[in-house]
Amino acid sequence: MEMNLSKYGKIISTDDTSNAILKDIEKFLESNGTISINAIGVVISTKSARLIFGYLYKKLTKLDFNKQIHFKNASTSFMFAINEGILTELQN
Amino acid sequence: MIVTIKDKDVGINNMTTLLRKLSFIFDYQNKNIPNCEVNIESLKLDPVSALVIYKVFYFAFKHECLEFPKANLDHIFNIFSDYGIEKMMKKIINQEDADLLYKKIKPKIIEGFFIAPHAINRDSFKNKIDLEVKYTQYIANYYKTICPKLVQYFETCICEIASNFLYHALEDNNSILMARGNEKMIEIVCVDNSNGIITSLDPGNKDHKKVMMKAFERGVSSKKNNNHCGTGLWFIKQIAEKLNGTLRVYSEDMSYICKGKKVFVKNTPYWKGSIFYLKLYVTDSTEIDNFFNNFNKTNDLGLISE
Repeated sequence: MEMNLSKYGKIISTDDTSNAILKDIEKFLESNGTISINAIGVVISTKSARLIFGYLYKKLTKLDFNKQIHFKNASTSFMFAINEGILTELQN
Repeated sequence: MIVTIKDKDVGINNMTTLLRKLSFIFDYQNKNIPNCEVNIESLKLDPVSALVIYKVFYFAFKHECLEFPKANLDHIFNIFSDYGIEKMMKKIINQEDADLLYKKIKPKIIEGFFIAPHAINRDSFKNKIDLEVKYTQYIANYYKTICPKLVQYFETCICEIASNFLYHALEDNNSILMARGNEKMIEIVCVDNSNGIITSLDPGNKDHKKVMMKAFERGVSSKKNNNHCGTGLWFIKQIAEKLNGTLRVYSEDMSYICKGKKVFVKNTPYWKGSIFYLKLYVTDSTEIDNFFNNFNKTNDLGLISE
């Protein structure tokens, strides 16, 4: 299953949007087991990245996160924010 | 007291001079000091000087610093019209509510530059259409044919700066994010009167230079337990470095200036809050792409990106 992240906005930076995305990803995972996050044209703040993907990485652990969640069409800066968000969450 | 702002006092390279002339206002809070006159003789204002002067006026009226101050208002309104914020200045000076006008400010093209102001407050962020369609998308569209590979970095800087100011400047609801650019460069400016970096990060530390330098290290945040990463300033600094840009941050009594790979941290005249200025050049994206691609590969997270 694919989730088009741009439907939540081209800029993801607020807690409200982050929480909505997190909730939907969890629903997707419950019903489908895997998800492809299409991040075409989307920019995400490091704070939102931590809230969504840092939380999921910690919850699912490395093996399951990478088995279940893939990124598609993500820009370099988008992937940097995701990496940084997860690393920060793991340190705390 | 007469404060005169001339051409030699404005411009990003003269920020210390401008602050020296204006920082007295923060000592006058609720004092209603009489016989003060402000004359802005400068014919043009750069975005950062415009926002600094705008915030000084706002602070002076909000905190009743001056009793019946005088100013050359016709000229001031005229030069602020370049940035589309002259009506807000009028409201502030007349001590009227300017909230509705914050929602109406919008980008425009003037003398070969686009000028894009955006209000930084909870309402404007809750309204995603405002931030995305009116603002970030406007800037992305402007640069998508000029430098399509750099648009993600410009948007990232706006996103991080806006997010930083929004979450760190909770008691200042009247800040403006301003971007100005042409086919060669983009400048992004934000100014607030909230808690500055020193007070937010390490209020008890008397070594302000050390605190200011630490703020730009990766993983340093005053709100790390509140889902922040502490990467924002470091991230922006890396982008500035890789795009031959300049990053200048003035906060409380310190300034942090990053030009290319050189960093200067100095004492400056006091500013309540922070002044943020970023200039990025339109240039080849290879170096910056390589930097962040390599950075993403150096950890053990194993993320899969197709």
